[in-house]
Amino acid sequence: VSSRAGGTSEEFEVFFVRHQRELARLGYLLTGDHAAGDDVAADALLAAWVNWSRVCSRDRPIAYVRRMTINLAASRVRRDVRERRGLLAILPGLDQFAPVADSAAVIDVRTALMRLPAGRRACIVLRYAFDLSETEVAEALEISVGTVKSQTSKAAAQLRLALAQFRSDGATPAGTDVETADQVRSRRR
Amino acid sequence: MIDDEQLRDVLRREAESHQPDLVGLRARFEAGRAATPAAVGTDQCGGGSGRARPRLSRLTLLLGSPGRRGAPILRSAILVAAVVCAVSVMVHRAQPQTGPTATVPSPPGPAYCASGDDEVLGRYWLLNNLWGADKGTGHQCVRSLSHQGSRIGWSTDWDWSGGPGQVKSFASVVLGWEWGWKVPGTGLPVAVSDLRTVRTNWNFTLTQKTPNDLDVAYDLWFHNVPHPTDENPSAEVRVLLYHTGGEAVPPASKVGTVTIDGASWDLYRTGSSWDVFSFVRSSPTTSAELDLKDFIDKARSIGVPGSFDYLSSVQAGADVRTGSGRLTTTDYSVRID
Repeated sequence: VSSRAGGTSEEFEVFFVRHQRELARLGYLLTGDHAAGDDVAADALLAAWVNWSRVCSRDRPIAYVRRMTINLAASRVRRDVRERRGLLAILPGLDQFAPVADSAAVIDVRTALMRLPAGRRACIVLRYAFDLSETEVAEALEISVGTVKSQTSKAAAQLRLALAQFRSDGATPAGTDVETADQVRSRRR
Repeated sequence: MIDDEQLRDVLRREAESHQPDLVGLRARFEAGRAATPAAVGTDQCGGGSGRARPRLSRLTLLLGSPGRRGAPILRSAILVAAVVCAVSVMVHRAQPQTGPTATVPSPPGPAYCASGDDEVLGRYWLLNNLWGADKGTGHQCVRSLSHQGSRIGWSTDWDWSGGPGQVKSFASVVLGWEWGWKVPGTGLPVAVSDLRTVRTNWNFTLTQKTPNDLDVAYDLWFHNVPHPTDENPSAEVRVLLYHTGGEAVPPASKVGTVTIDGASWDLYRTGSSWDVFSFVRSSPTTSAELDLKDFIDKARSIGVPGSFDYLSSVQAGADVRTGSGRLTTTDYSVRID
C-alpha cells in the first residue's frame, strides 16, 4: 500500500499537537513505562485519525482518544504480564535489568500505581493527576459517575497506604509482579 | 500517612516527570498512517472523499463502536483484511434470510480483525486475542459461525511470520475470566473442591495454507482468590489436542506421560509467575469429547497445593507462532457441573 498523499488536516493537526503531551503522560502513568507511554499515545492518536470523521463530530473527541489510550495501556500491561508464561530462566537475576534513571521516590509512586487494578488506576490518574471532573472520567471510561467515585476513593486509599508503607520501609519493595514485567520488557530491548 | 491533597500533588508531579519523546511519538504515528490504506484513513471532519465514505461507515459499523475497538491498526494487511472481510459480510448479510429461525444456526457474523475485538455468544465470548502480535508481522481475524444454546461454531484466519517460536495470537472462545469479566452468568469462578465435571466437546478442521507452528488447545485458568479481576492467575492448565511445527513446550520441562480418556498425553510443567501444566496429546486429534476435570485432577496431583483454588476460566483456540491458515470450529461446548 502506498503512503497517503498530503498531510493531516489542519483541524486534526491542532488536536494532535494540543493533546500529545497529556496523552503520553497518561500512557506513562498507566503502563509505568516511559517508552510504552509514548507508544500508546501515538497509537491512540492514530486510531483517532483513522476514525476522525466520526470522532470529530462528537462533543468531545478528547474523551475518545483518552479512552483509546487507556484501553491500549491496559492491553499492553496485560500482555507483558502474560507473555512471561514459560520464561523459566528469566526471573533470577532480574535486578540487573532494573531501570536506573529514576529516583527511588519515582519508582515508589509508579510501583504503587501499578499495583492497583487497571480500572482503579485509570480513575485515580484521570481525577488526581489530570484534574478531570467525575463526569469527564465517566465519559472517558464509559462507566457511571457512581463507579468513578467508588473506584477513585478505593484507589486513593490503597495508594496512600502503599506510599506510607514504602516511606516507612525506606526502600522500594522488590519483586512485585509489575516491576517484573517492566524488567522483562527492558531486558528484551 | 499523606493526605488527599498531597496525593494529588504526588500524582501531578509523577505525570509531569514524563517528558515525552515527541519526535518518536510523531514518527510512530506517521508510520501507522503511512501503512493505513487511503480508503480507510481520513481525517476530514464529516465530509471527505465520496468514494471512501460509505465503505468506511459500513466497516466501522460492523467492527463496533469506537470504544469497543481494540488496538489501532498499524499494519495495512490487517486493514485490508478487515475491509475484505467486512465487504464480504455485507454481501452475505444483504441476502434475504429464509427458513425457520429457531433451529437454524445464525449466519456467519462479521469478521473481527483488530486486537481485542470480540463478540458475545451466549455465555461465551469470542476474542481476537493478538497478545504477541508485535513479535512478528501479520494479521488474524475471528468470526462466529453458529450459536444455539450452549453450542457454538466459529472460525479464525491468520497469517504470521517472523519471531520464530513466539506466540503471536490466541484466537479463542472464552468462558469466564480474561483479565476481568465480560459476560455474566458463566457459573465461574467455582472452587475446584466443588467441581464435579467440566464436560466439553470440540470438533474442528485445520487448514494450513503454509506450514504452521501452532497448537490448538484448551486453556484453563485458576486463581487463589474467589473473585479475580486483574490479579495474576495462580495456575494454568493447557490441553493441546493438536500440535504442529516446532516444540510446543520446552522438552526439558516434561514430567511424564499420562493416559486420559484412552489417549496418551505428554505432561510438561513450566511457568514463572504461575504454574503452567501442558498436556500434549501424543497423536493429534481434531475431535474431542472430554471431561477437563481429569486434566485438572492430574495437574493438582503434582501441583503446588492451593494454586488450584478456583477455576476461573475455560478458553479454547489456536496459539499461533508462525504460518498461515484457518481453524474452523464446527461444534464447541463446555458444561460445568
